[in-house]
Amino acid sequence: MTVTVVSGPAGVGKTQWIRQQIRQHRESGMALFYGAPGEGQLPLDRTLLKLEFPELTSFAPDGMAELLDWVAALGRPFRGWIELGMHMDLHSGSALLKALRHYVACPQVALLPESLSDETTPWHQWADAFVWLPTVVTQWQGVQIWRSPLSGQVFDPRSLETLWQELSLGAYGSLARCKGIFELPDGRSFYLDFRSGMPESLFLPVPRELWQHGRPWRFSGIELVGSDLQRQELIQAITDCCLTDEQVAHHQRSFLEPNYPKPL
Amino acid sequence: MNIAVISCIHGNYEALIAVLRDIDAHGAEQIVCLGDLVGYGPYPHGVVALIQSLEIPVVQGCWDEDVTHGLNACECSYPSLLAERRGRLAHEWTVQHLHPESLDYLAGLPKVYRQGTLGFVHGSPYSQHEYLLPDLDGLLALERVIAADVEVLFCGHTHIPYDRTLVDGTLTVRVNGVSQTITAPPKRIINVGSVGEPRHGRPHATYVLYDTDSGVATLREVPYDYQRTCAALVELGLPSIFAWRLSQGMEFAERAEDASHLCGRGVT
Repeated sequence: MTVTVVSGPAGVGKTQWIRQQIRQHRESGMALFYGAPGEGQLPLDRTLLKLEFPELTSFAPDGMAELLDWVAALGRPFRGWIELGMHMDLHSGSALLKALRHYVACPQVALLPESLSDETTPWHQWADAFVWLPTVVTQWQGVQIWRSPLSGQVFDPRSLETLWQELSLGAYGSLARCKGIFELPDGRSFYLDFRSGMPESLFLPVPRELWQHGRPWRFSGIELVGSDLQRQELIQAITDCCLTDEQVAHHQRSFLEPNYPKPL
Repeated sequence: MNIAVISCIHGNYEALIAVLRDIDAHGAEQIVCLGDLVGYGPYPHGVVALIQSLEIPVVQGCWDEDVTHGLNACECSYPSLLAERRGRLAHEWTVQHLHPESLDYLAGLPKVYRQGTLGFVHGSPYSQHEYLLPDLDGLLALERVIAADVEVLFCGHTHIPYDRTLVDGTLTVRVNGVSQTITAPPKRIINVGSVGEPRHGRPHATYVLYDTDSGVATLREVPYDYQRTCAALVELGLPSIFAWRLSQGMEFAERAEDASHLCGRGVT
């Protein structure tokens, strides 16, 4: 039984590494949990992990204290991952970890790009173990984070494509990372993920039910990490990409037409 | 004779001045302008006044029509919600900053200008809003040149320059079992790009020098101080994203990519 506390710079691949770990252990019979105390109001990674691994127990930031009760009541082996975003103080949650360590080992693992192997970073002092990844991380110091929940908003696909191009080319600041879940008029959600240094963004359908009645009141949102972020301009651009109530209703009426093509 | 054909200035005074200097340096004997003097850029009135003072043939662009007749663009002008919202904002700003005499001048511009076997339009002979994209179906492209009743049709509107020769245009019809093949003479479409809002990945202005004796069209790409235009855009209250897009050679807003789309708005 282990609870691994994972940290590292934005875009290094923390969630992806945890995803691989969950895949390795999901057949083990152990209970698995995930929590990201720094996610704030934007449970982006947690939402995606829960959709991929429905059996995963997850804890919202304001429910992390319940983790101890869950562990105490579980009565069977478990394994967990606590992800600390790059914006989190590396010593945050130390009281929780101290309590957890009464039950289980909690190694602190730093995921770092190979390019930082010769540098001195805060993670070098903090980590019990290191995982060196070939990921390109262009910014890890002095970066800002900007997040916005988008639940209920529906994006015009062509507008989202333009916005994403502008974001990735630096129109709203120098980005190290940008990711988000976006709702489209045909009822599908997409996960978009840009990392500086990667040749192309990821565009992946999110495995959810089609939402075809009213505004999609389920989680969607965007997170940016970078420097010189132009928040007002960004908010305006996002707002300009979103459909009005009338436009959403217009699209949804067309789903009822017999020849409407079913989304893949 | 060397003719300089310019288009799509979009209120970018700095770019226009640089292009006029380049035209002068190349000894062009005539200038023809294919419209879109205004829209998105920071100096609509300055551009109109300068073009007017040159006393050159000018045809009306889609923006010139929209600011004088009211915004009535179809989906070929606004392929996305984002482009539409930005376009409407720019439209309102431009209308507010144009002097009445500029509006009168733009309203009175013709849609088509012919000079011998050469034709000059903004979008197509049918509409200032129609895109003649480089991969438009050959028959449709040929039809547009024939409709203008010219050998060489100069256009703008797409902001991407190209020179397309249309040869081997034949149409076979069968009436009562009798086939007849009509062969069209070679035609040519030359898109001159954009002075003030290029879309070829660099911020430089583009226009075309055309030698009427040899038929050689030379695309000119003219660097200019686009940062001054960018600074003016922001200073005058236009969205900073317009400045960023201009600096990337990406246009202020995105444009239609569908070569098969034919605009329903006709020339009246």
